[in-house]
Amino acid sequence: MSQPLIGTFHDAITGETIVRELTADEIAALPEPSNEFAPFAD
Amino acid sequence: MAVKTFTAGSVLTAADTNTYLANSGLVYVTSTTFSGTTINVNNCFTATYDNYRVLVEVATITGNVVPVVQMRTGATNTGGTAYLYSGADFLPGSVSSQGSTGTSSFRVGAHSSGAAGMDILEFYNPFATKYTGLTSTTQGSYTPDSRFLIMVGGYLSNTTSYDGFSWQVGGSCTGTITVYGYRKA
Repeated sequence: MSQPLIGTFHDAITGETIVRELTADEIAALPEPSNEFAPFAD
Repeated sequence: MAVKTFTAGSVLTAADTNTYLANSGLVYVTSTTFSGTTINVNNCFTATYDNYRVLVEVATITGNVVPVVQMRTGATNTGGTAYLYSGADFLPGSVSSQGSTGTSSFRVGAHSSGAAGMDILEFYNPFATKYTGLTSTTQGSYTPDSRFLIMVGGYLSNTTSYDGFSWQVGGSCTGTITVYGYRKA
């Protein structure tokens, strides 16, 4: 079973910071991970 | 009233102090420590400033990651294919170009486990109904003695007003993110 994806959510108006598991919709909206850096593609 | 010249004998009042000393060119907007795979900052872009500098200090990170940035409005990320960027990776003894003409995010840097790094992001007109521009500068390392510099510039080709952004990595990381606005007057 894969580890849950965690995100930090900060509001600049209230100063509140929440760390929580990403929802299914948020995970589905994530861009494809990039490997666009040559040393990491080796 | 961005500058006032004080001369010998001038009285420095509380009002002058507040106006001319406390309000510097870069004005603090917000900051937070973070952990996880995405860092989302809401309501940091407003009509108060046109342009912003964001410091992403990466303290720890798992694996080799290439962060990306998406703009946010109403706490929702903007994907699509309207992000365009180009840049260069500077490595010891070599330079390589990279870029994209229509993708779902800005690629902004690279970070490697065990090596602290820094992304400096500059957002241009994110809150205005203009194209949102972004430049980024990243320093880091991926082995004990291999340093790199990455510079990227691009824009999001729509005129949506954005009030936040999301900095995302494929692995898990911790650090501190701080947002400053460029004072206009």
